Amino acid sequence: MGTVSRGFFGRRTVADVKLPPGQYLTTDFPVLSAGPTPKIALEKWEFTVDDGTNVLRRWNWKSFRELPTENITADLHCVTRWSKLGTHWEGVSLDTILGEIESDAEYAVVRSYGDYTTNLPLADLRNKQAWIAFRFDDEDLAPEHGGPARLLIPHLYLWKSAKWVRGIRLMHEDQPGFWESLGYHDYGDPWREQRYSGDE
Amino acid sequence: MMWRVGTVVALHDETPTARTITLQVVDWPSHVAGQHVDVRLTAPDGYSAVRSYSLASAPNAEGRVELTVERLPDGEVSPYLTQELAVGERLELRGPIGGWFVWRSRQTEPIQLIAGGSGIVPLMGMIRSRAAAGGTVYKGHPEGLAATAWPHRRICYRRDDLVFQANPDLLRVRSHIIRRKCCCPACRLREPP
Repeated sequence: MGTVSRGFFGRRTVADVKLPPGQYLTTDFPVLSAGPTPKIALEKWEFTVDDGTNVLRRWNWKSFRELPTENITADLHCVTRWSKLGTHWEGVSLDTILGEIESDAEYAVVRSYGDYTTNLPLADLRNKQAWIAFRFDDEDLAPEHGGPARLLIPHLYLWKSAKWVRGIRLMHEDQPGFWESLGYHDYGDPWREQRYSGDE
Repeated sequence: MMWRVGTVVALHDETPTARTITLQVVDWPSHVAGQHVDVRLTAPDGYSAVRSYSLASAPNAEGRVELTVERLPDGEVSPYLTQELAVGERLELRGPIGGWFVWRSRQTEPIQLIAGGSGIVPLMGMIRSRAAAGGTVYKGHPEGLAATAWPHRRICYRRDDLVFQANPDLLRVRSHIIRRKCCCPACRLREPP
């Protein structure tokens, strides 16, 4: 145990709520952005998958919305320590997006309007654990929360769920994204409390 | 990132709800203005709670770290830090954290700073860094501070008035949005009390 804070007793989380270490529960939906919220007209929106050389797949909003969708219930864990449980989303599974693409790439960089990027092992985008979400709580996703569409990858800290997504680049080598270049962990598993670079 | 222990060497109430905590930290690796730290409180039974707080102090070689903490009515950690913590006690922290929302001394371009409530804390770290770097370095490029404050949630940093009076080129208020007369040093310079 570290230094005991004399007179501090804390306010324990309700016993039946299981949170990752160091997180506290919020019912709010805080908004944290590194820059301005981009305005993206749906008629100009597009989403691509590329390998750094060639565009492998491309959707506009109409063709994207013709893809099969799923309803998702997910717990969100932000590295700034708030967690929000049982959120409801609608989105297109990354299994659908990546399904027909053949590649031996092992990593991905997710790119956003506004030039935000975040990196992931490609395997984390597959197997029913990541979506391109466009509705939250039965309403179109608000711009401040990443609308028209954002990545939703709830098993990692929320900075990995890039807002305002515009594409995925398949990579043969891991390349740190925006926050990953600025002191945050490369992978970001909340249950292993991988907040900052250097955390195990 | 390792946890360090800081000793509380001074406490100062900036407002009825915000307190500045000055810590002396052994082997503090220094920081860049705008960065934050994680603070960990531990109860006698081992339960602990961690929160992040912005650094209000300019980088310095003396291992001195200042945090300004706004007390949240339903907070778990901020009431302890603003009401219970006493001079001489020890506090665990780790950092500095964050490489994006920062100001480095080599950046000499004019900047505009806009804050709401306790959001002024990291901006004061930047303003104090500029003051420490020497006001004349930035002559002709006074930064602007726009403080948005609520009547009960305003952090004033009155103790900086002398610094700003000595460095008239350092800080210029371009606008401020408040509901009542502001008490921040910048406004006090423009409208002496």
